[in-house]
Amino acid sequence: MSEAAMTESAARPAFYFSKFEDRRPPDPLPVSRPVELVWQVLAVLNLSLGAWYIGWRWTSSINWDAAWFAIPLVLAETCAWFGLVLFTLNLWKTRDYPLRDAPGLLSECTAEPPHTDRALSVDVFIATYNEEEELVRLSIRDAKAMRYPHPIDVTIHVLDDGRRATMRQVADEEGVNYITRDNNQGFKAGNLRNAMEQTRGDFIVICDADTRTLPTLMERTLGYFRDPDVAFVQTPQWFYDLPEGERLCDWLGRKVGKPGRWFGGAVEAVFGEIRVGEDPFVNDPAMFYDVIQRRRNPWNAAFCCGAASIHRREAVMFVALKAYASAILGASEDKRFRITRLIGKKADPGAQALALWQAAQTEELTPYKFHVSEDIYTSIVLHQDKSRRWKSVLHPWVESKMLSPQDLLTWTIQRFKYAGGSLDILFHDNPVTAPGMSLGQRLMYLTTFWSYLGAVWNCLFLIAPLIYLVFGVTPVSAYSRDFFAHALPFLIVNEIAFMFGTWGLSGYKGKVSYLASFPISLRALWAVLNKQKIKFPVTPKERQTGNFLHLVYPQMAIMAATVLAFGWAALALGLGIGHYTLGGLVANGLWGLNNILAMSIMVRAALWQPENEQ
Amino acid sequence: MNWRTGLRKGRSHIIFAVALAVAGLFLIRLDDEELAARQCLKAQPCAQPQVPQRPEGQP
Repeated sequence: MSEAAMTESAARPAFYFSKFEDRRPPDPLPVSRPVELVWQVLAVLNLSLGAWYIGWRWTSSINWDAAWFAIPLVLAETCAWFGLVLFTLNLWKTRDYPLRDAPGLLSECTAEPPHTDRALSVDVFIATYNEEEELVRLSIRDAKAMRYPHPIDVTIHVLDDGRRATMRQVADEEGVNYITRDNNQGFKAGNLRNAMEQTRGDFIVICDADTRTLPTLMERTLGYFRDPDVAFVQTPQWFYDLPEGERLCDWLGRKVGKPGRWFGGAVEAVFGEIRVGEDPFVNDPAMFYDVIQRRRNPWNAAFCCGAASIHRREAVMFVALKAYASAILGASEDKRFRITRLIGKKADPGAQALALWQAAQTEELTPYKFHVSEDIYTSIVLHQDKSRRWKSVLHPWVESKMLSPQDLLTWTIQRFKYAGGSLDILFHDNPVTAPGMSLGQRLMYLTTFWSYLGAVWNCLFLIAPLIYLVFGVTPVSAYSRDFFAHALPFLIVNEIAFMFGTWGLSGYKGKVSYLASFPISLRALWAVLNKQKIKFPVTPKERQTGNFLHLVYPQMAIMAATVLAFGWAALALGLGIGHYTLGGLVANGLWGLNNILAMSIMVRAALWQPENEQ
Repeated sequence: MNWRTGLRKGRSHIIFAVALAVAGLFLIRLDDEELAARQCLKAQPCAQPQVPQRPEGQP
């Protein structure tokens, strides 16, 4: 290493993630037609068994003596089954858009030849607010290292909403453009709009402060834009800083010596490699990008997630201008009516023009809607545009790396934003019922919204065993052979079906984290129903220190209540108090155990500390 | 991806399915035993000692 390089390297701060720099992203899940066929057969069987079970629940199993409990539970089960139908449709098949050669000229990406043909121009936006400057420097350097097989005009812009002289200095040192503004209106969406006003690139690469693009991003994604209807390409987000954890045998060996190592080794021999402390916040987005989003490609319903996406400027501006024009027309009608009332005669062309002018003054052109989920909003507006039928693409290869939330507080803020933003769209601008989208697109957006509403029925699934264990009240007429004959085939086939549906990924952590994160979604739902504005706090990029147990009080309460209730029910059964049965006790005890295991993942996350802090 | 890797990654589903099957069978057995016990209680004779009855008229 040269002396200058050594000096520079010494001057640069060492981040916690510096040791992960050499990590390489995983390849996309391979597509196997036989596995897909097995999944589809099992999925149909699963939904049929589910329908059979739900039908039986409604017609033959409800304990009418406890209707206050039995009816909400069977409703919850029905909602969960409907969610299963939607999720099955989402996962039905994988059909990637074909990769196409990187275009050399603008004319290769437009429906009509441009006035003067030229090389493509790309603006890379790195949006920042208060992140460490040296972190942004890393993102700038990686953006500069992107390659392209043809001449191309790439300009990197640091969009600094923090108005920092130090950030400007870093941009100058790196030779990239620096853009700022005198306010923070619209937060990230406003920041992007401000940059769009000052730039002219044909395509826009959107990056957060910590988005580290890989050299291949442009050469592998711009080819999709050869189809002139493709509006944006989303690439998978990959967290390269996830803790790898420790092998169970090593961990037990460290804790209890040789016997622990042997025991751990024996367990791993049966169940395969188990890692303790791996991805404690269940941040791994592979399930979301590689399965859920990727399989929306056949429906043309993959949505934009902000960072690591590439947008066609024409598409974003096209729908923004249309929305702007219709907003002005809508507003001007109202103004025209008021003018008519004021001047007491029918609106003349002058009054009409005045009304339009006034409306144009008050409405704003927002290429990216000023909303906490501006990325989903943009996707919705594009998918709704009937005149162009814009397409979205989920490119399956990872083309950038980024940082994951490193503590429960940051994780909670991020999940609350996702849930609140999505539910706010559902309740105030529901695309499922609004005109414009195809049936498939509506169903895919409904899948997303339904998953956030799932917190409501998940709550019932957490409380139901508690009600039995405390009061001895059953929601079904009996925990009989008949009940298990209907429930078990469905539950077992469901597990096997989703093993094939998500072949190559472990689904357990995602499943339990979905169940355990119910307080976040419930809070978001409450906020939206109460018309509270979902705030736009920037997700911290550094680990927050402190005690985060207060964030998991609801989960801890469920765990403690389940254990106590089980103790009480066992005692009551022994003493012959109430209407407990051994079958009911065991069934609800196991259900409660499942809930406890799910909740424990969040409690462990609250207590998690990185190795260097332990 | 070979089958072994796929199964290893999806092991949580297999474990859960096996746990459900075992627990379900156990609960069904419990229910059967309870049902049998209840039927026994209803039909009194099975609760009484089995003494061979002597045909009427015989000493």
